[in-house]
Amino acid sequence: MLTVFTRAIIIYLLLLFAMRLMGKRQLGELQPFEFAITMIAAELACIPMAETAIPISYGLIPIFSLFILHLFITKLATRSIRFRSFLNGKPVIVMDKDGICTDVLKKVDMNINDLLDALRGSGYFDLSTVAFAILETNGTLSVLPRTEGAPLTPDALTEMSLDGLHSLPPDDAILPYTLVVEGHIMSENIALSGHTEQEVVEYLHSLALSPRDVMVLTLSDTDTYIQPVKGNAMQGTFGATE
Amino acid sequence: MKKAILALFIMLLIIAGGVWEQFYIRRATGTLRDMLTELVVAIDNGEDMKQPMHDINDYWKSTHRTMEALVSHNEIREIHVKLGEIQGFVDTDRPDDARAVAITLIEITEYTEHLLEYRAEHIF
Repeated sequence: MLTVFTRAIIIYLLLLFAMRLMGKRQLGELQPFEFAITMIAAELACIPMAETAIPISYGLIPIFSLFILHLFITKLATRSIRFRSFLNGKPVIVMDKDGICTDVLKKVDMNINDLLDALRGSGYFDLSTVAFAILETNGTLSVLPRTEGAPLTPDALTEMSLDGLHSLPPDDAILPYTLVVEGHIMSENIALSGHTEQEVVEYLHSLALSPRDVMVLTLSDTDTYIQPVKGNAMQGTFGATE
Repeated sequence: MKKAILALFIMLLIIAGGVWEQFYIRRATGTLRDMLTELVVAIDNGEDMKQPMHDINDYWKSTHRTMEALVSHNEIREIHVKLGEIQGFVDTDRPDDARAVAITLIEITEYTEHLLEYRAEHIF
């Protein structure tokens, strides 16, 4: 029993490691550790079912061992952003306003055809309509279209009505950055947004908040969305004193 | 929180079950081995084989169900078959054959116990 328990842990960890090495493309919509669990659990359930000479405990013990391990990993991932990032990887921008990020594509083992496939799958047949394409940690592609390719929203319609029907809003597709997550400052994202950690902290102080009080802070151009740990979400303008 | 408690409970259950399993298998195979050795000694001394064989069968009857839940059925089947052979030789008064199979069975129980021990080489 202890042997089976230990073997289940070892096989799971090795499979998880292998899945992480294989990269995002091998995954469907599951996170790597969920995929590993699904694969092993299915197999483990089959063995004692098909082979009656094997005691049923040989199938049940590893499945319960996986449950314990899964719960432990999930709890750890919930508490630690670093561990979560190790476990699931990070989303990567494979296409931005300047075009396809070929270096990034190589890093994630994608070729242009894969990208075009994924874009078509998301409903974007023309590359010029894409402002940003992000390869998510679960292997799916999220697309932020350029304004001219974006679905008509009530905001855009209002803007068009004010400016006259002949005018379209300018290309203002902006990728929002997540600056604070669960009280942790996301230094990399802050740098990408063109700001500094100091500015973020000062902005939060102007709202009588510290980073620890913030569940999530996103920045879209100068517009911010803040969900404090306690209380209702608020929206504001970055840099503006509230 | 409930899930964590459940996971902890299951983990403790598995570990406790695993430790108990180790002791149970060691005791069961050890006892069976001792009884088989008694049979061999009885044969060597020209004593009655039927009583020790009867004791072995009684003990195995009380043990094999639990063993089947813990050990691969192929190994249990092998012990069953060998015990049947010994019983046959005892019934037909063939002590030398009974002795040879009893010694084989002692080896089998030793090997079964060894296979199910919690050791690094059995994990890898």
